[in-house]
Amino acid sequence: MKHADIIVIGGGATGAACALGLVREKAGTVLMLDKTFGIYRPSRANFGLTGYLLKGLNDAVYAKWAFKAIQEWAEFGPQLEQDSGISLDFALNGVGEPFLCEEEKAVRVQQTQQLKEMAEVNGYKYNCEILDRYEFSQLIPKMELGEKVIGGMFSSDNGHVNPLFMLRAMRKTYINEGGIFIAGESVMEIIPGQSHTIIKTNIESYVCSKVVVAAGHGSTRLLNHLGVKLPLFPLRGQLMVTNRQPPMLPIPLFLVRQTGEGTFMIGVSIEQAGHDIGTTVEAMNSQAKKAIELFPIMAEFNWVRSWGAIRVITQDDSPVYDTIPGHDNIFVLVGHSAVSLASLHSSIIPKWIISGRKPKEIENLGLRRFHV
Amino acid sequence: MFSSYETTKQTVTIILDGKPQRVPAGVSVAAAVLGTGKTHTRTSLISGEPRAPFCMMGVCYECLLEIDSRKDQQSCQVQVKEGMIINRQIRTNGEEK
Repeated sequence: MKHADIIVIGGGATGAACALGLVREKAGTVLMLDKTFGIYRPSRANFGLTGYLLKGLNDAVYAKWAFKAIQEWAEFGPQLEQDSGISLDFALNGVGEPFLCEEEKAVRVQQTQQLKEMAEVNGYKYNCEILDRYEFSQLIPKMELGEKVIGGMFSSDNGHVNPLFMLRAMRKTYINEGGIFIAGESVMEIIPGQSHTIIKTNIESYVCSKVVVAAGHGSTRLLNHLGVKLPLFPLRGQLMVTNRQPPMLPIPLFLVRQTGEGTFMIGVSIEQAGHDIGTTVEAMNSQAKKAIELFPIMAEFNWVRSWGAIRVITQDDSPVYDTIPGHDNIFVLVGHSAVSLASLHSSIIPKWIISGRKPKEIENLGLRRFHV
Repeated sequence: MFSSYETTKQTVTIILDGKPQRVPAGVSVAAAVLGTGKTHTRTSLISGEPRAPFCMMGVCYECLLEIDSRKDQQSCQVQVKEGMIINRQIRTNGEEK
C-alpha cells in the first residue's frame, strides 16, 4: 500500500487548485488522483469568466466569497503565469451584460441594487454600473450593437481567462513544486479509519492522513458510501465557437467572449438534461440568434465547433466546503464556478485543510444548510 | 517545395490571388495551392504569423482560404473546380491585403 499525507480526489479546476495550494503550503506528500477518461470533465468545457457579477443573489456568504475570489485573482493569475511559464490569456478588464428589452433591464437593475445593499452590509463594494446604449457601445467601439440593445451593465473588475490553460498551469506548477499526479485511476472507495484513511482505486490502494473529495459529480457516489447525500444535480450548458476573428470584443459578456486566439465563444444555455453531454439544434439556434441580435456582424462568422457541458450545481448554487460527519479528516469541495473560485481554492481552502480550523467566512457554506 | 508524384493528365484552371493557374483536377484546394509553390496560405489574425495547411484532413483549421468570395473555408475539404476564384488570406497590420 502506498502512503501520502494528503490525497486529493479529482484533478479538475477545484482539485488542482487545492492540490497546488497544498504543495505551496508545504503540506507534506500530496497525491492528486484523476480518473481522466469516461467522466464529464466540466473543467475542460466551461466559458472562462472570472467574475462575481450576479453571484450569490440568494446567499450573502457566497456573494462575498465570490467577490473576494476575484480580488485574489489579481495576484493569483499573474503568479500562476509566472510559476508555470504559461500565458493564461487572463485579464480583469471588466465583464458586461447588455439589455435587449426593458423587462431584462428592470430585473438586472433590481438584482444589482440587491447585491449592492448586501455588499454594503457585509463591508465591501459591489462594483457594477448600469449604462445606457451609448455608454455601453463605448465599451465595445469596434463592434456595432444590434438595434434592440437598450443599454447594459458593466463591472470593471471582473474578467476572463483561458480555462484550459489555467488547468494546465495549475497541474504543471503543482507537479513542479513536488506534488504527485496520478492520472487514469478511478477511486472506487474511501475507507475511513481512526487516524488513517484508505483510498481504493481500480489499480492501487493508498493510505493517507487526510482526504479531499473534489470529484465534481463523481463525489456523489464516493460520499454515498459514507452515508453522506450530496445535494448536487447536473445542469447542462451548450457552447459554440466561431472561426477566428481580428480582436474586436475587448471585454467578455455573459453571452459571448472573444478569446486570446481570436475565436468567439457563445454560450448561455441552461437545461436539465440529466448526464447527457450532447448538443441540440434548438439551443444552438437560440444562442446564435441572441448573439446576432446583440452584434449583427456575427451573422457573418463561421460556426466551427460546439459542445455540451455538465455544470456541477448544488441545490442553492453556492459551493459546499465541509468535512464528513464523524470524519474531520475527510474534506469535501464541490460546486459551480471553479474557475472564478480557483484563487481561494488555492489559498484559504488549503490552509483550512492543513490546520483543520474552518475559516468563519465559509462556515455557512457547509452541508448542514441542506438539512434544516 | 511540393510536387506531385504522378503526372495527372486532367487539369483545371483556378484563379489564385488574381492569376490563372493550371492545377491537377480532383485534388483539394489546399493541395492545389501548395502545389503552385506557395509556402503559406494565410497569416494569423492575432500574431500576423504566416500559416499553411497542416493536417489536410479537416481538423486543424490552418488551411483557411477565401474560395469563391467566401472567407475562412477549410480548403483541404474542398475539391478544385474549373474557374474557382481563390484568394489567400494574407493580412498586414490587421488589414486584408
